[in-house]
Amino acid sequence: MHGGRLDDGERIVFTLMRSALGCVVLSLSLGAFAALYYLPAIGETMAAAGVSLVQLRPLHTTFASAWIFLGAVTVVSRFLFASFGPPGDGDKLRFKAQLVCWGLAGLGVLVTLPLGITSGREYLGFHPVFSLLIYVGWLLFAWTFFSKVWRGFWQRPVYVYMWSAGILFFLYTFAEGHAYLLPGVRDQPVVDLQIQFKSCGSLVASFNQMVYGCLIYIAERITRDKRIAQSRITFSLFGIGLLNSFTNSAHHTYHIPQDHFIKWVAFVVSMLEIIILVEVFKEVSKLLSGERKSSLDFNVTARFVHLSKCWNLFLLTLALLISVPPLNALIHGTHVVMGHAMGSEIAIDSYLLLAAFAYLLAEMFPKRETLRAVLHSDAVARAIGGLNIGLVGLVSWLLIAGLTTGVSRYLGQSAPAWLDDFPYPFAVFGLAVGWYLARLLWLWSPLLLRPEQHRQWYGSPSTTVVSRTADVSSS
Amino acid sequence: MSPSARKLLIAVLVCAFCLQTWMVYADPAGRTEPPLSPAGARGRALWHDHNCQSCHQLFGFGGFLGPDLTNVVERLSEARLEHILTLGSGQMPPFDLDPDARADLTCFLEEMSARGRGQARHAEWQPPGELLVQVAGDDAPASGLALALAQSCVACHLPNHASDYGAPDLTTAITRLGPQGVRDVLAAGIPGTPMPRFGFSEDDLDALTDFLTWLDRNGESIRHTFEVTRHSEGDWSILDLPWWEY
Repeated sequence: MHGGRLDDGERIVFTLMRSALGCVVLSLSLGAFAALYYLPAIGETMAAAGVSLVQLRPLHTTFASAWIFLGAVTVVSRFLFASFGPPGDGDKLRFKAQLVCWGLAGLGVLVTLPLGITSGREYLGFHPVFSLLIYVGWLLFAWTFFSKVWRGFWQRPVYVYMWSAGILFFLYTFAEGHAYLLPGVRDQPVVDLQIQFKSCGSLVASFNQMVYGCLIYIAERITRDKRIAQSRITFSLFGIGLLNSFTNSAHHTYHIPQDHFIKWVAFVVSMLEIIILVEVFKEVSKLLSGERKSSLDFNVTARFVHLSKCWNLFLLTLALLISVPPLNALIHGTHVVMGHAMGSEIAIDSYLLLAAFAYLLAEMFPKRETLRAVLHSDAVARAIGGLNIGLVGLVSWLLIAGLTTGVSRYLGQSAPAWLDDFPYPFAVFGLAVGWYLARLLWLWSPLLLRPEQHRQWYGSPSTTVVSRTADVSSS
Repeated sequence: MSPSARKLLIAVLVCAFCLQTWMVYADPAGRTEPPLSPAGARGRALWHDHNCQSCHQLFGFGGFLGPDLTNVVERLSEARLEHILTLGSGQMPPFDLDPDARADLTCFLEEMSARGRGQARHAEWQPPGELLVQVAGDDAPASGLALALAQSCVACHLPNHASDYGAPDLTTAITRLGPQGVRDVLAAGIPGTPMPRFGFSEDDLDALTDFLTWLDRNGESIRHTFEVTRHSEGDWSILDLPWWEY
């Protein structure tokens, strides 16, 4: 503890954390508008006012992806400064340049997409000039990361391998996502689709590698057991997961003209996920039998990790089912895919990153009273409960609606009449998820917005902080 | 895990990645169709410029608010497609596309449709338009039937049921709204719903009202035929579903 002041490394971590959470807030707000657009009466009014899903959706997905990446980069940066000491001048300069590149890109996307300047691509809906800024930022981050971890790389824990794979995979797949700029790809729509599915699928896999690495890093720090990150089983699971990441995008291409061998490979490798499923099942069984209890009465990190494991079991089972070709034919292009994607992004990636953030905050604000009053308060517990219930409702509704639509569509029948009301539960559950996530961030905001005051409070309490904390805990 | 085992693991993964990437890029299956024509390429550019993928899908890739458009040219007539592109429909905003742009976009969608099927269909599925022609036979007022087919009314309105878009059964339209009510809807559309204003002439309105009156009069048998067809489509099992291309 350094009095009230944050050191350089902590300042960088806080800046990244705030940027990541800023992206969540933006993504939530835009997602809330997008959910309202699904209600026909409101959607038409919005369309008449010039606000369209055409602008809202790419903004929402861009900032949701930015949240995941920035969140993982925050945890990786914390690891770098905790393991290799405070940042040097070169590190600080690169971090500044990296943040300027990403900040300019974020601002540019926020301004240009509403003006209708778009690439019209899925996930990379912004103008390619912003891709260049994002890419330069990533190159700088990769430089900082590899310059520190390359020495003794082969002895490093598994999360360093996961982050390395995530960073390199991102650099490759992000570039590949722009293959449409090449005439040979642009004029062959099927080739373009094959590459688009491949790059988008692998881009998602790259952020999964980053996030799972964060989970193992946090688990190692909490348990102080370094064997977890060095074990043969963990490395084998990393290998299976990464192999799956290369090929599993092909289960989105079962229906487009493509060599069947590629599809068979995707199918067989997807089925290897059963091994991961069995491991997750064992973990969840231990969890439910109460073998692993948190030492605190309520601990945000433990709660999010436990919830995420349960979701992982469910979503992995769903992913396996979706990878079976006849079932894939039934649900492809329906809301089942959306339910799986949203469930994975929120219940696995976001939960794990929030768990990691809670751990990092607890590390930086170690006083038990602060943790109880702000980070692990009852209000936070209620917000997490509400968030999870909203998410269960949202994902269940998307799966039911998607499966019903898939069957009706296959038979050439109109969907059942009750599905006419699809937008209402979707909007209600979507808004509930957004509301509780926003509430959680609001409850944490005293630590996030005024960390130095809280560090002072650790030594000498400040009246404003105490009253703000009291407000939060009473609400 | 020992360092040498880790090196082996990484080497295997790198080889697997290179192999998989090579297989995708070297695959000739995506190049069996000729490249997009100049009009198709312009249509593709319009598709991206207007960010159509936000709401619609091609081969199941894209947003979920609107339908998959891979084979839309088979489902909707050219007139109906042009109408939607000009005036929008429901939450779909009107796009101010000139006739050349509309033709380019239609050309792009036609060329996409030729490249495969976006959604799996039961083997016995029959497009509702074809079924309507079959059911109507020679008895139905020909000009009204032709107009209904040209405007793809059955793409939204199906007998027996409200459709995916909440559009009601046309075989009961005259009973529910009366001839004048039907004319009013056909002339002005229904604001706040996907039912657009078509801009029919008086002659068109007469022809369509005649056809809808005929549909209403023969509604019972038409609904029965559609129901029987739906039942035959309803006999399916998971084993009927395709593995790869539809």
